[in-house]
Amino acid sequence: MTPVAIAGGGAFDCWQPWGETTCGNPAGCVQTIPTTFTGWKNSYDVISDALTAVSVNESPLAPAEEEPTGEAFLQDYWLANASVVDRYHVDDGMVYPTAADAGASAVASVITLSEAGLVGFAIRDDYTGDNLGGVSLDIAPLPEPSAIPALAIGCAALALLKRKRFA
Amino acid sequence: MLRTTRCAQAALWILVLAARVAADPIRVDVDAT
Repeated sequence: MTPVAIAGGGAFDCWQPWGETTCGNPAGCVQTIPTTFTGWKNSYDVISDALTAVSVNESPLAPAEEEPTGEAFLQDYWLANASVVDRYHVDDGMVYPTAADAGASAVASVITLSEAGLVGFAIRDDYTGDNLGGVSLDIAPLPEPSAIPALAIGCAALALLKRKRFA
Repeated sequence: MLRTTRCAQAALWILVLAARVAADPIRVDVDAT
């Protein structure tokens, strides 16, 4: 699951929950509750009934029982999969002066589902009337780890059959 | 022998097709507005 910008063929670069920007630091300003700096965000949620594992930049997240509360819920990458609906929240806890600055902090994630089913993608906000932009993601399936030994056994069996036939 | 070669070719096509379908990414655009 890789965030993509408009230049990469996406519909959006990043999104803005306030409609105005006060953060002037391209490296980002820390997002606080209540708000001190406003700006563009690299954040989104993945919602599923079967989300068992997530890794961010190839580093696995430790699943939490419940969603974090207070500022923590918007300031981290977290996975809550003991809740009624599993949620993976992406956020670096920062706001940026431009959508491109926010996009520069975006990283790829790998999510694992225990079974096939619907997966939802969302942004978190309580009032969407002043929002700008959105989030674009490229999602490519990876082979299940359990399928790789099965494929190897299959290939070996085919090679053996071929050798027997020609012997 | 010819039949075996054709079978192998068909199997290879199916494998290539399956690999291409699996590799095609899905694009998701979440509109924040």
